[in-house]
Amino acid sequence: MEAENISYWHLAAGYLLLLIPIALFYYYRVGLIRQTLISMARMTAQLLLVGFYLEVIFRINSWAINLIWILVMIVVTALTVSSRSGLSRRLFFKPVFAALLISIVMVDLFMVVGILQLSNPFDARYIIPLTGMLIGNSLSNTIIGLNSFYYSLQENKATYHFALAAGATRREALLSFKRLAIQKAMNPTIATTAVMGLVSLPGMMTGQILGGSNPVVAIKYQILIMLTIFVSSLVTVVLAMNFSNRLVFDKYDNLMRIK
Amino acid sequence: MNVNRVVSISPHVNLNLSMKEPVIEYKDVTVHYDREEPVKNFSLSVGKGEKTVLTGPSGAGKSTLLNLLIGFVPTFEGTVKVNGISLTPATASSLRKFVAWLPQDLHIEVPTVKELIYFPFTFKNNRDLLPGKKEIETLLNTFFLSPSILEKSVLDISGGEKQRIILISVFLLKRPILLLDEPTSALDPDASEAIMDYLLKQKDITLLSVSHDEKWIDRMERNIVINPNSLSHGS
Repeated sequence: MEAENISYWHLAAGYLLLLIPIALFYYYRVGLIRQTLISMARMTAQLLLVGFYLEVIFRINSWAINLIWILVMIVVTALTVSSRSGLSRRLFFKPVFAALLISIVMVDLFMVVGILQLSNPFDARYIIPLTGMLIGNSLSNTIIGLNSFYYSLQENKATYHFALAAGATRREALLSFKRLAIQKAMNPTIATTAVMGLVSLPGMMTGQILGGSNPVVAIKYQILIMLTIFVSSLVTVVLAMNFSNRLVFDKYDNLMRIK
Repeated sequence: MNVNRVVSISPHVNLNLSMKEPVIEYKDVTVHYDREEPVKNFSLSVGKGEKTVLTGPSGAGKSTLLNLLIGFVPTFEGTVKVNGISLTPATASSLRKFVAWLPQDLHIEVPTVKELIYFPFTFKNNRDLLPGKKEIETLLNTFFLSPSILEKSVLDISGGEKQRIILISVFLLKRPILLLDEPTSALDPDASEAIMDYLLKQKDITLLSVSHDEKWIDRMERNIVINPNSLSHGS
């Protein structure tokens, strides 16, 4: 059984909902109308393009093309994280890219080889949507984590310097800032995980059920995806902080410019 | 008897009025921040055990001079020495082992006063220096604090109590050189007096401080007055 198709006219009518946020942004002079419209337009164009592209990718189902597609997703995510964190793209792209690559490859391999035990681990139907979900969630956690870490370090420079002057190594002096950043980055994911199924019905499971899958199978996948999202998000946040640390301190351990 | 010397030097003259072995030395130091030079051609020697205060208007570069000694002002010209060791990226961490530094507006996020006192001793380099309960209680009493304060939340103590607790933590590190930036800014006169009495009794400790507190300035052995821009030191 397939889900009811949505006509393009009806889909277009869905955009009418945007009148509410636009009115609220206008009323409160939030200054986000332009960004909202651009992000909605980007989302629409990207999804339409991806829909078309995925159809082709699924048909060809070449491991090389699938891996290139994953690499493209990671590059775009690393660019987005570094710019949306309010940090220098030039400085932060490489460490965020490396962090994402390591965590996604590690969790992906564990999932497709270790758990799902697919005969073709790079089967487009599995690897692309699963990786997409992992990357999408790691993106927001990493933005929160990096932003919190570097801005609190900048605001509380005296505390960091006090620790260094008192004999702490850089790693020791940064520990409390990292702890706080990890808490801030992971708290929303922990909260979402705790109410999963009660308050929120996850997108992947809903999609599978709408697509005609057995709800029990859909739930098993959802449990797996929640576990892997949690792990990959945390690993990405921790690695991104540690990798970027190598580039943003001077020889005296002072934080250099991060914007 | 206090010897309060207000000294005057021109920016190009090396100020070494101390007969004691110098443990802090600035020689022709100029600091660059973007296009500004908050410190220009500054020279000063502080001898072992001397108690010195830098005074002058805000923005004159006094805190910068303290920060400079431990590598927190990375772009400078000239020579800075602590205990005879020139400050370089390679020596910064070993040089910091001689020094305890207290900045203004310090906020350490720990739940209790006890953890605030022990904060510097959580670092591997200081674990051997872990102070005993008795030693902490003696210092608390010296600065008019009850030992029961240790169990309180940091949020429940006053600014003055917090400043004394952090000073105690700094003293417990037993470093031979103290760099204190406005150490009495939140203290009442009695508490300030107790801190000064304690420090002046420590003959081996070299103190370089920054202060606007007139009593503090009065009791220091040397008062280096720093004027902005010219960095001349008037009496």
